[in-house]
Amino acid sequence: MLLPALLTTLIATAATPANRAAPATPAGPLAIRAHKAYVGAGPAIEDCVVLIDDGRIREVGRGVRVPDGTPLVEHAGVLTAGLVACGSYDGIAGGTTDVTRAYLPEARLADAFAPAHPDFERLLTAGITTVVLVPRPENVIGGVTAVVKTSGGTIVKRDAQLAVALSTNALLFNREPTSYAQALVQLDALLARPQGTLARAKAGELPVLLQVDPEHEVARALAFAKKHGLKGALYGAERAGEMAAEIRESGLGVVFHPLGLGSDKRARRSVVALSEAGVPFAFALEAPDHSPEDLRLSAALCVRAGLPVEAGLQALTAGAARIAGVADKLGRVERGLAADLVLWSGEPLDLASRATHVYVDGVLVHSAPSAAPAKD
Amino acid sequence: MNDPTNNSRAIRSWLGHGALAACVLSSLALAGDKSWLIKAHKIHTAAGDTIEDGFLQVTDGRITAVAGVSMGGGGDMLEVAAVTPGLIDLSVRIDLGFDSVEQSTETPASLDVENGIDLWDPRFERELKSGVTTVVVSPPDRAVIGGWSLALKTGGPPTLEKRRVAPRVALRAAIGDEPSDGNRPAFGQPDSFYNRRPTTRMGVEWVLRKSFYDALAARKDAALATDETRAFEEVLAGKAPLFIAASTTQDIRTACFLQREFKLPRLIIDAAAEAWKDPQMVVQSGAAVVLPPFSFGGRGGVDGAFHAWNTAALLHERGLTIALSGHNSIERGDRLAVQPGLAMHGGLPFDAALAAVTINPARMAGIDGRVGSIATGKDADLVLWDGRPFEPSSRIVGVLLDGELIVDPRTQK
Repeated sequence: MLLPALLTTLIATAATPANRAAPATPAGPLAIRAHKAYVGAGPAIEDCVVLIDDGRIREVGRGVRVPDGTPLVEHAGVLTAGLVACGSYDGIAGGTTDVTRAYLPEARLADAFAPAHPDFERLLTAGITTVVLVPRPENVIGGVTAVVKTSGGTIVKRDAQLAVALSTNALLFNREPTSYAQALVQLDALLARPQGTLARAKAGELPVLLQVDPEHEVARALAFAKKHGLKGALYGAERAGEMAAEIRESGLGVVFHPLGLGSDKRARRSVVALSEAGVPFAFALEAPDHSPEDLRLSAALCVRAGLPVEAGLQALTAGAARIAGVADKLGRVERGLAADLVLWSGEPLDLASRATHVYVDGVLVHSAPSAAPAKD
Repeated sequence: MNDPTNNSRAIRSWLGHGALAACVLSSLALAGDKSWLIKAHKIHTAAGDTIEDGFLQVTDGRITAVAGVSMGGGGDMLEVAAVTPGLIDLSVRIDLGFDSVEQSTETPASLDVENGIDLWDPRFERELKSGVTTVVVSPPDRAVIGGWSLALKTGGPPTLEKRRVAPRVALRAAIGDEPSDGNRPAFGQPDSFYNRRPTTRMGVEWVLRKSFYDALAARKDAALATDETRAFEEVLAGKAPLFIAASTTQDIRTACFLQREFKLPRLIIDAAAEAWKDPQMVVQSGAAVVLPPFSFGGRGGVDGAFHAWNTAALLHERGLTIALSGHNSIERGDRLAVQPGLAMHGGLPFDAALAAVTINPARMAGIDGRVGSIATGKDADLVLWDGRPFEPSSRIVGVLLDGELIVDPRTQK
């Protein structure tokens, strides 16, 4: 990737795109002044200054003084925290589906994480700095999800969630179980004398990610979670908003599949209804099946269906980090959190806007010319 | 209308009168959506009588009075030509296909189909709007013993708690081609140790008999008991019926042999299209019979079994308990509401035809305490007709489920 000369002049530090596979070079102090910043909670801040040092955010706010000698990036657009995709298949070495065994409670997605995979560069161009690697929902227990950065090979959380697919996709005809009923019987048996990750899930230490789609699967998953006292989120659940009361009662969050331009109107309204009910939610990306821009598109389509812009952005950043269990590390523009920041040419949910600068742990890892379309 | 020489009728009318007056008052006070006064030229109760020019009071989802006297005024009144109980289909076949039946064993007898159904399935609503208010859902016949069947309402809030009429109403079994057919490879012989068995009718029958023998062995030695033997023990002890799918004569005979060998107290033969060929055998087994939809070609169901027009009439004459089924057909002419008419075309009397879609299936599934007839205290599941029920010239103009008006006769003119 080539850095335009114009941008290098703006950035006083020698910010060259880091090798994605290699650990990021330690970042020196940096200040960014953005015309507008969505920091993760409350209203947007105008003329917001963000001070960064050692990969973390040190200070945020309007009128924050930039210390002498600290390079300052002036940005006429909008600043947000780096986007978090709550479910993706990127950069996974080998498949994640074991067609011979339906239960893989000790399998770890972190072990399949391939940081050098070119998928991650594509994610960065869309402002996505963190992804939750999840197994495809083709095993009843698919393994333990991992939260990783899209640059620098950082594993933020090695054991994020236990993925459980009470889904028709996990019911293969040549492997036990072939039916929902037997899957439930076997899960109940495993949780009656739980070991390892299952014991941690049952004790509430490890959240579950319940991969389900139609309403009847959601209903089954809610009953299952209630029976065993499980915490976590539903994954998929396109019509979740139509069952918002039940889901709120369950205490589970929801990770929606990415929405495309051809997505069902009911699915978009479902997101709005769930948001109005106060249920935490986020979006998956499911790249490489989906384009990285589909994450932003998902929120934008929900805004079109009535979701407040702040709620849409929240679902891509702080809300997603909360569901992934890493809200103490990233997801907001807040003192002490990782300096994963995106500078947008305009409003982030305006699809004409582009991510012009992307920082991961305070290091500029992607930049694109503001006058010409971004290269993929 | 009121026959003063008929004591029971007179007493019921008198009781009904008082109850009705009270109910009308209470319904006015409640003004709920689930309370109605229904006036009908004929109320076919399916409990042994037909009330002419009668009234039916529904209060808060239940039938609270049935009377032959007319009332002046009332709350929300519906006036129709005829009322029957909501129809019941024991073999509705609305499931999630292979996701609703476990195939890692031929006898997943301890599994409940209720864990593998879709209450949002629009087919339930289609059944409801066509007058079917209660159905029994079974696992598809891809295992020899598929597990426990479930009785549920076709409408209402989509939760098992709200819709379930009774769990475990019958243990589902299948003989014939279906449970073995898919086990044979598409070409040649099974080429792996891991091929599923059985692959023949005999093999299917042996799996069934072995299951019962295992249950008998577990009676003598508790150490041999498993979840599966406990399921079969329920059937052996007569606590639940064995609900066995058998269409052709040979398969119906097999079902009867099984009954005789293990002295099964309760046997229901489903889809028994060819039961007319050897009815005496079925009579001796004490089995009740569910007939598949009559099709105009005669042949239907599995294995090309021939279903004669007079099957229902012939079995009824022999004293068998029969129920009719629509198998959730998408063909209007195959739906449950038209089956009694077709059976009547084959010679079945009206009352028997009515019973075959209401009280008989309710009794067979053991849910007649709540549904299956029009009687005080039962769920207000009702079908309203604009003429004589089941006749091709009549229409269903109203459906009530638990007192809720699903199809409104006032908008069906």
